[in-house]
Amino acid sequence: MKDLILNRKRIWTWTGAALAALVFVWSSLFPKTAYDTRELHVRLEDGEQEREIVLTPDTTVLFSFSAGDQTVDGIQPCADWGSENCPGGVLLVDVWCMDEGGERVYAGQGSAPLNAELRRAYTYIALPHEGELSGELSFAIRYVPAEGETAYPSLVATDRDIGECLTVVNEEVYGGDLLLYYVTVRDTYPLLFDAKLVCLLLICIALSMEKAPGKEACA
Amino acid sequence: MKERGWLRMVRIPLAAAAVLVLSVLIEGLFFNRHALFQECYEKETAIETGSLETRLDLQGERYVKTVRMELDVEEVTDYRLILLDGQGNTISERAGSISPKLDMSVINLRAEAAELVLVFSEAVSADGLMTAANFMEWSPYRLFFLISTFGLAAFLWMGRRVVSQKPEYAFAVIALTAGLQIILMTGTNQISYDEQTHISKTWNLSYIGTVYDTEAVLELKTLTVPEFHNRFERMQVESYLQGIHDFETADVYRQTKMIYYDRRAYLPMAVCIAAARMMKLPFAMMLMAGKFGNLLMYTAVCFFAVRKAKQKKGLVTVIALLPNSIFSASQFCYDACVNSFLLLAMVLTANEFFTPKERVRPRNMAAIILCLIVGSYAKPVYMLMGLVLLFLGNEKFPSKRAAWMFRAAFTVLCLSMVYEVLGKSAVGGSVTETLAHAGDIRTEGANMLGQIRHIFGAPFSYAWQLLSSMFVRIADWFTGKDQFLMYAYLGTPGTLCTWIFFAAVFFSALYRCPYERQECLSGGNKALFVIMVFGMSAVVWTVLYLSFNTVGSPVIDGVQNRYFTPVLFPFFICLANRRLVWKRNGESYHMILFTVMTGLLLYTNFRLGMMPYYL
Repeated sequence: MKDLILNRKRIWTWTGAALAALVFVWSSLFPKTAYDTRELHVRLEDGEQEREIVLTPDTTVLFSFSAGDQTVDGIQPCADWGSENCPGGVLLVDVWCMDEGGERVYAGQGSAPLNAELRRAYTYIALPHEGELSGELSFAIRYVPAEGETAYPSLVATDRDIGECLTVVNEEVYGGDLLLYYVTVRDTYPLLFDAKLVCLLLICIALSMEKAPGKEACA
Repeated sequence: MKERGWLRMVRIPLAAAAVLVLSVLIEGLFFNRHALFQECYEKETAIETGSLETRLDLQGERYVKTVRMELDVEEVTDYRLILLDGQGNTISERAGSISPKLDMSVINLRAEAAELVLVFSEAVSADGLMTAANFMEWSPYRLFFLISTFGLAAFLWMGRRVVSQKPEYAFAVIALTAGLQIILMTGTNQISYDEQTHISKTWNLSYIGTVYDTEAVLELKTLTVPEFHNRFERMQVESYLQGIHDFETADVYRQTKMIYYDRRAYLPMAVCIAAARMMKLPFAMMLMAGKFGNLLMYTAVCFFAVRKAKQKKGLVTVIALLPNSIFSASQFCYDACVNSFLLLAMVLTANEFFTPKERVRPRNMAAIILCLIVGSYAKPVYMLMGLVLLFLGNEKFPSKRAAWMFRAAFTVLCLSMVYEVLGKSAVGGSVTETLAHAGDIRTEGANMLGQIRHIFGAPFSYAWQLLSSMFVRIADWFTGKDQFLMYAYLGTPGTLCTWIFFAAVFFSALYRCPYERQECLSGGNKALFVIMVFGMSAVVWTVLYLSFNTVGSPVIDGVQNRYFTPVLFPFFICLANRRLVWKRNGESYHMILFTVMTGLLLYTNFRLGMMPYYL
């Protein structure tokens, strides 16, 4: 056993390099999905004023922005419902994206209840969809109250216009934009770089090793 | 004989006691001489709401040690403190500010005055208190500095044999002591380059998965922690940070559990921070523990660099004790990882070039490449320094074929590392996309792709610009226009210190220690090392030009001296020769180097750390 381990270092090194190469191939073929939270509009600049858009049952807030090449998995608009109110309803979001021909197509609907324990929150609304949600995206946000609910939550916006974003409230262009995060998904290759380096490192070491006399030469 | 044995037994405790007594005497009799020999008092006056000016009559000229202002303010409030003599003439003036986070400010005045006038830039909106005092003060930071300074002097004198025979141990003692001085003196002040970024990455790395950012951590990450200027303000800042370091109200978010390569240089700091957090150490102590982790890593790696050097241990020690590097190692900064691992890699590489006919040992080759990789994690372009390995002779490898295969594999390894800067394979990035968007956000108009187009549009003009920039920078170090020795935002100890450092480097590079082996680099290898150093410097300059300067900029801005620390050893090793040998014994050779470097470090620490904060 001792002989197997100590006198065959070169073979073990080459084996390690081969294994690292396998990990490299495996890592590039099977990427890992990662989620990133990105800021679209959350930091208030000097002089920027907060505004609230009350989500009465007949209010719909249309919002659009460009996600570029990133695939959007959900959005987090800032909703405020005051310390006295306990909302029981849900936020509903319909989403549209552009198809290959440049036509706007309906992509699906997401919903999320508001957390009654908080006063204000960036509520995460997952967007179930088929295919990738990227490029120009449009969202219609409305609130469906619970039975008997009369105090409605608001979406928080500011008076600053963000480039490439558009907010429309009840078919009127709003002079500002919503406070919003969005969540993207992407493929990551966490082992790719390390596997490549380990493989090359072990090859370099193996090449500086003498072939063991006798058994290894035969092997 | 008995006496000598008895003396040997007690000399270390005796020296320790002498160091302690001397330090206490200096602290008590020198730094507190005004409290001992003049009247101790405390005079206070109220700062009234709406007032612009407050006067404090000291009833005759007195020595004022400190002036303390306590005032509730809503925003940073600047003030001037004017010292008047008995006739009402202005003696001098000091300026300061009160942070709304501390609601107080202390000035270490240490001057005679009969009256103090406190003038605010705007009328104050609350009542406050102004107190002038002279009192006995035992500063733990000053005491530590004195004890460690005299302790090091005693170590160098009594441990001459250790210094000359085991320079790596002497290096470790000096580096740890000087580093600890910096850590203790700088405390929570963020005075290193981009420290908020480094703290942010370190703190996040100290968690696996879910990160908890307390208010105190957020202030560090956004560079909004109030700065202290003396021990009294320091206590207030530490207490303020401790008060807002509350995990109940922390921001909680998730991060990937994967430690990407560009974060690994922060691991020693992150591990120590995590350990300190688990031990529930106070916030300020936890920060210091993180810095200590960095210092330990730097000292350990450089220890091996000195130990493993076959030639020029003195040169390796001098470079490892460069005050800039010890400072970086004592702050939140990845430079410690870059400098230490690349120094070890270059020492091991030079060892191979000293013995061109001996086969390279696989474990040495593994160590060289691993050190190059780890040292280049934070700044991958330094991997190109390793390309000198391609010029190891065929005799170093088992066969000619193996040598050529090694060269091919190692070239791919180096290029993979450098490519990763732009390729970002972990996140599936593309080079063209990175190039199109790359450029330091601090410089408006910086764009990597645009700059590359500019360089290729006028290659000769850029080559001239590069060469003249490099020449001017080097000339400036020696003419005093630019300072090589720097403690980041704390400043520089002065041109003389830069000259002393280079004198020590030249001495250690040119003169051979009597008992060192006579192996030297061949002429060809010296040329190779010089070309590598020049090429690496040009790459550093060009990377800065690509990423930090506006497209077509006529000057190359952003190049800092610390970027050249990794190439110091390969450059100066080329000066080694067989002719110049130190005629005296090896003990004096090492004593000169260690004394000069220790003196330089202690003076820099005193000038930039002790004087502005604790005197």
